[in-house]
Amino acid sequence: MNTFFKAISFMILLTGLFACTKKEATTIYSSYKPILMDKGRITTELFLAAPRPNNILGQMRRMGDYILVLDYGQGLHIIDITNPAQPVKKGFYSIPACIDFEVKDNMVYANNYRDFVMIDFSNINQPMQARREANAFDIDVKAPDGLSVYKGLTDIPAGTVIISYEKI
Amino acid sequence: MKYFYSIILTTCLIAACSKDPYDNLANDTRLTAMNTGLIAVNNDFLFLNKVNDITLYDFGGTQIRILNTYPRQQYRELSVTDSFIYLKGSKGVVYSFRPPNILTEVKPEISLQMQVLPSDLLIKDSIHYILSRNTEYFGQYGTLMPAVYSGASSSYKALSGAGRGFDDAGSMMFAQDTVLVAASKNLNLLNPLTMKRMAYQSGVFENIRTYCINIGNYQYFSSGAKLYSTQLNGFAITPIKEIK
Repeated sequence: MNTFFKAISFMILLTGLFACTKKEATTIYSSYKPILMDKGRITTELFLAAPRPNNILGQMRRMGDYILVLDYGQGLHIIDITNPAQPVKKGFYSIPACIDFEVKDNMVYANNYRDFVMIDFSNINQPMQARREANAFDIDVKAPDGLSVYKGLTDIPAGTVIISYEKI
Repeated sequence: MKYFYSIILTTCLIAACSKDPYDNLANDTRLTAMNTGLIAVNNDFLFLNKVNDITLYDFGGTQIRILNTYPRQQYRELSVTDSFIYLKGSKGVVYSFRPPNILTEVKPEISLQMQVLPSDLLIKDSIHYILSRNTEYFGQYGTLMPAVYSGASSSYKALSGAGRGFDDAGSMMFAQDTVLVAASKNLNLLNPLTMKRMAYQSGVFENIRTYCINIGNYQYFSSGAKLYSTQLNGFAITPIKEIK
């Protein structure tokens, strides 16, 4: 009886070892959750606003006495560096779903979701949209840490798109 | 005795089912997540990484004019300096070509003299670079490497023995005759030729890609939700302070 029990146990042991040899991929989820906006508002919500708190900062470019700092998917912080030792936030220019921009002279070249836009900052107090090319880019706004968003946060209501992210 | 076998069985099952902690490192894309490469400019040209092609424009006030287009399937990201254009291909290879610095149409036979970098410079497909005088610095996940372009041989040659490893070389710039590298949470100041670290501040940044810009004697950094500035003094870094 004792030998029989040992044999059964050994078979169960082997079965157990081979049952789990196929490893499942581990998913590391992002620590960010999406910020949504109605599609219809994305191309109309370009405006100058008061300074606002930073969210997810990205690249920086100089424009004269100012630094423009990308806030991922939301727009550009305008930092006055007239006194470079004491930079001062001057304002914020909203560009929904903006994930990349460049500066040449007083012109900002940016994406506004999938559109390409040029914004003339010659008058820093009144930036003007100078050009728009619809659907120039084939992009989606991904989580800034490059990781997958939790499944529970990926249900996007119809008519909306992800423009940015915030910490969970 | 049967309890002994039960314990052994349970232990073996747990060991067999535990997951490999390194499974997902290959999928870590933190460095590239915010490096989209949609738009690039240099002194003379604007480049857009568009749906179907990379389009080269010249500037004209509020107007821009298409000079040329290049099939997009060869390139996913682009960066430019005044002399070089870097196009990251589908296999993680960097190409460069030199358009003439005049506002005339760029001829494909001139502009598409592609140069494949030495393979030992390119370990993975995340490339960052800075340009300083005649030396370029190529960084990827683990290494920052200075290399010199030789027009005679149309090739890049790495400076011998000057590479330096980083856990996560996310952002770098040339400032005050030094190379500044924001890697992980830390700021490193390197000798530009030897890559020897001359100064170091640890734990100053958030654990997300840091961006930097050099303006005059000041350096500015963005990291997560915070903005910082500092000032170099030779091979020393004044303490970084947050810009509120």
